[in-house]
Amino acid sequence: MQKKCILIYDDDLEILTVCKAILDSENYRVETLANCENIIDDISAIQPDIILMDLWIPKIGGENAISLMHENNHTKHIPVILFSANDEIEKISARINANGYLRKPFDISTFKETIETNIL
Amino acid sequence: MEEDSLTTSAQTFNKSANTELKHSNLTNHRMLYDIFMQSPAMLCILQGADHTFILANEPYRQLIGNRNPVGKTIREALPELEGQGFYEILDKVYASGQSFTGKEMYAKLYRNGKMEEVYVNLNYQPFFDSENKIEGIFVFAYDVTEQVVARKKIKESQLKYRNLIYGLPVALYSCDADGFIQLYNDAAVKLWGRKPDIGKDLWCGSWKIFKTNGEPLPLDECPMAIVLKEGRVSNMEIVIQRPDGSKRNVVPHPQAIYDINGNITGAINTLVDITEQVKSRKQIEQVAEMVERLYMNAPAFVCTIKGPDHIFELVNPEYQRMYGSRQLLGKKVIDALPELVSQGIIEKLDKVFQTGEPYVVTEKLLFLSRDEGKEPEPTYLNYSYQPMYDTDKNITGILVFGYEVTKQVLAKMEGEENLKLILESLPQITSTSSAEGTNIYFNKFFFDYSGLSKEEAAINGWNAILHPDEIEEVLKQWEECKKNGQDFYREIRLKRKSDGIYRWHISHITGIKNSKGEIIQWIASATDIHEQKIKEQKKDEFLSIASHEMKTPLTSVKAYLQLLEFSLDKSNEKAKSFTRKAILSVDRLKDLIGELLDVSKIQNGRLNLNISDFDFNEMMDEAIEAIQYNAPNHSIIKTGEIHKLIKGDRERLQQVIINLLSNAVKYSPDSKDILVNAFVANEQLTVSVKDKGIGISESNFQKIFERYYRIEGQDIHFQGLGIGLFISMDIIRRHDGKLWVESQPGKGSSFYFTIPVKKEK
Repeated sequence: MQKKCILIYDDDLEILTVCKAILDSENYRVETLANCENIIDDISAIQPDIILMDLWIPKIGGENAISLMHENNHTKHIPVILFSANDEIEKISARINANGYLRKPFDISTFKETIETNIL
Repeated sequence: MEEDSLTTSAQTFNKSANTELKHSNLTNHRMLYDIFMQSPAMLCILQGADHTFILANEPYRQLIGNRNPVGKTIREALPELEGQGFYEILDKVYASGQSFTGKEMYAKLYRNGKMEEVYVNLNYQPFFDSENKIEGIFVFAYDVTEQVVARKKIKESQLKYRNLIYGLPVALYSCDADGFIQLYNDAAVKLWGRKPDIGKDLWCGSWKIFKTNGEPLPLDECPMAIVLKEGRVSNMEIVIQRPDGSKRNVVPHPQAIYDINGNITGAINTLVDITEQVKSRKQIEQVAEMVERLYMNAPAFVCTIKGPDHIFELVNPEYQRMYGSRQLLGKKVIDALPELVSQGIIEKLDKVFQTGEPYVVTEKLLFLSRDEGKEPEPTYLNYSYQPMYDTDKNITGILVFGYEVTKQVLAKMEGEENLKLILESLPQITSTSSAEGTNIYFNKFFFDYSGLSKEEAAINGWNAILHPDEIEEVLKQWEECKKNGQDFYREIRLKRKSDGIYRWHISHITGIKNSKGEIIQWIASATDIHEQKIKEQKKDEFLSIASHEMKTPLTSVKAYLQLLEFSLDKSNEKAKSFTRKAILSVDRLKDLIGELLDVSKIQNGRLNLNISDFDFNEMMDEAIEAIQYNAPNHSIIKTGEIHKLIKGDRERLQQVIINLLSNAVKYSPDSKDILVNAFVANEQLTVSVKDKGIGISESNFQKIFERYYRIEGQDIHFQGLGIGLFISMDIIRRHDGKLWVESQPGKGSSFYFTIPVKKEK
């Protein structure tokens, strides 16, 4: 069986590295990207089963990237978890119709649970 | 006298006739017959019981209408006398032998073809035969019709006048020359209240008389007495008192009556009752007195100015006070107060005097010299000029009435001027509107800022410059405020004309109330807070970014530490413990960063709640678990649970409980148990957290909820920024709840919070 793929967007490389380290051991395929300008192309290339999206990501920002994705019939089915240190994350994720959110800093257990719960 | 002569002459005649008849001397008989027949008196002789005429002289025949009665009985000769009593009298005389004398006997006789009324004086004298038996009746009569009728006419006329006098509604009486009352009418009786004794009472029928000043007036000095004694007419007003004590004011009009020789034979007096006039005169006097009192003591100034030259006729003390010792009375206005000439006052007086139109003016500024030789000074007056009229409705002068309002006007002017000046020069938008919200006034700053014309401002007011996104919300809030009489308070954006930017303002509209507490006007202001707002936004942005930026490396640190913890061998207890502690420190650092952000938000009023229905018990358990995990030496005991959904911000309320629990742990280093209770009662959720720690003195109960306040143990330093309770207080307040402490130093503290919950349906 093919490993499930997690696509993580974050502009902080340390975050991407540690996330990869956590999830690698969990038998997931982990793809990380530092910007989300070409989210539609990224998705079609990577075919993720879940996306972790940092809210404050350069250029277009996580919020816009998610709405782009939601507007696209080929990508809108993919679960998105909002991933941020922002206090308002709960509100924002509800507003943009994200499947869940992860507050930074996080507990590894919560991190794993959130992904497990939401992955396709 | 008439009666006497009648009887005497009849008796004389009778006597001589008897004598002559008795002696039957022919010469004498003839002579007597001639005398009888030629007598101017009416004579006849009736014979026998049926009274047969045996003789009737010419006058008698004329009396009975030239009929010849001789040989006939009286009933035959004068049948019209039937029923008039004469037959009966004759019968009685004949039967009794007693003579009868009648005076002014009324009889109806048939004469000249008709029944005529006659009055006769008559004497029926019986005469006797030689045996002294009654033979017949000698009748002697004379006609007194003319005299009787004339007298009756006089009597009738007298009666008419008498009735007239009696019926007069004016009291009237007469006295004879000696002063005895002869006659009085009903009106006099009514006026006197008594009936005088005719011929006995002197001068007047009054019970008592007084002069108008109340002194008694002796009867013999009354006007009637004076007229009778001196012929002098006195119409002095007198007061008469009736027996019942009531008094009347009377003016007598006595008039002497003179005979043809010019001697006073009596007097007639009419008494005119003027009591009512006196009463009304007294009332008028009282009113006039009152008016004068008012006039002289009035707190207002009053004066009367007479004639076309406007001469001061009367000046009340208040008016005089206005001009100090300056001479006014008797002087022309133009001379007394020359400073008024150039101020148009004389023209005004002229106009009122000429046209009769009153002149009223308020807050009139006049320059008056307030004392002799003083410079004129500004004086504000409210006054009126009213024309005064005489009884023929001619204008005679002017009544000036008024009062000084200088102080009030100056105070008002100062007040208004100050207020306007303040409003105009305020460096912020200011306006006023009616209770209903109609725009009344906008200050200069409003026009400068908005660039609106007065017309535009009057129509659209603030709406013209409000940010389009806000108009609806603002109007809604404003309507609410007007409805409930509450102040309006809101941050709004208003468009500045010069650069077209919608600048942030804090707007405040407050109602001005009257003494009854009703709003009579609204005053609105808007203070430009644009720069502060922008700075604040930048600060928020910065804090937000800063906390985000700080949390980002923490995220990787924490994740690495957790990975490290998992990767460590169970045998490496020490390393595991160190890693554990590092993770806790990272969590603490994360919380501190969160708190800093919260404080900033609270300060800006931007701590927003995320309200939802949630399981309170679950949330509480999570909090207890988190604290218990980090405080293994304490035992957190839950003594109450809530098995229902509670409406509120789950995360923020958990933050409060965590704050209270971590404080309990922190401030009870030597005691173990921490009790947590939660219950719902009276539509209120109550949560308490009790420790048996160091406690707080009452003087600090308030301070602990202040920002950056920290409890210092004597030797102990407690961790934290001192903002946890400050944040908790704000969160609870935003839930419309209360947070407080009960504590005793050394015995521990109990923290409580309550939030309202809706009743279960």
